Amino acid sequence: MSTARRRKRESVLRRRDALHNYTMHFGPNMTPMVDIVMVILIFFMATAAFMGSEWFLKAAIPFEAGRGTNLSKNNDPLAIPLKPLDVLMDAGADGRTVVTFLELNRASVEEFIARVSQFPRSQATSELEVVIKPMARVPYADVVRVHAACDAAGIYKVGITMPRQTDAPAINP
Amino acid sequence: MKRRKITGTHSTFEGINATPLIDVVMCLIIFFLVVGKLATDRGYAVPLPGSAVGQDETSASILVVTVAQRADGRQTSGSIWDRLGITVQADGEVCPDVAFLEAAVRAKLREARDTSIQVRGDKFLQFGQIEPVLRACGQAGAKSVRFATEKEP
Repeated sequence: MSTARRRKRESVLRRRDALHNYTMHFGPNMTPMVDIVMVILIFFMATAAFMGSEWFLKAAIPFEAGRGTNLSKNNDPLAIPLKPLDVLMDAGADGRTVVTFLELNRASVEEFIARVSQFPRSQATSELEVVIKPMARVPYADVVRVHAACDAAGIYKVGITMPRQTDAPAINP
Repeated sequence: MKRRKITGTHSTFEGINATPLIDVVMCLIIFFLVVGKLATDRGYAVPLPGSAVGQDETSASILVVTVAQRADGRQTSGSIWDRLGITVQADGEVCPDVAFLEAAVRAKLREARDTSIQVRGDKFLQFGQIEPVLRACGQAGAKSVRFATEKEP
């Protein structure tokens, strides 16, 4: 019996389900592919949400102790080496973090952020080297805030190290 | 000769088509395997400090150093980490002392010179608790670290 004749005979009583429709279609069955593609899509959406929630602040550290910080290599032997700017951080009497930087003397972190954001957006700023020197009792979160402020101001050569005895601010807390 | 079509006649109930179900379930299994592995590799989940700026990770070789606050305060090995009240993990493996961390960093740097050392520090720590970890990384030959921070709008 040919397919055409059988279809004609069954046309009245034929059940209309997906598989019947499928026999009338050409081409591959897309359903499993769509299933898998959907799951992969959800997977990448989920992992993107995991990965996208954090980012990183790069900082130079004193490596192989004794040789000091090495923030960048100077390629021009005649260039005047830049003196890194120190950001001294300490915990004040009231427990708040105080920052000593350029003309700021034991100022608050907010004042430091305001000061560093005044730096012009220039090549010179991006070549500045800043060394953050927090005392042991400074909260880590404040160190990150100061680091982020430098990054936002366009200072990318940031180093972090513990202050030496000679770095201690002259004024007592 | 009568040819029997596989999909043409469905007058009787032949059961549920399980193929799409198996496909999806297999994908879910793979998904949870991968996510489970990622979750264990990252070590302790610590509350990270927030920052409004930062860079994404570009290096292919990464060493995750997690510095977590010790909650119970009990001393286990009498190491410097105990005195500081912190727990340090390198790629999910607990470092009992400084030498272990240095060895982990050194091994990773020998593998790939441009290894990025990610420091995931608890935001409630003091700098004095993180500094020995940075110094250990420096001793092992790392020139820089990346502090992991939470994205802030």
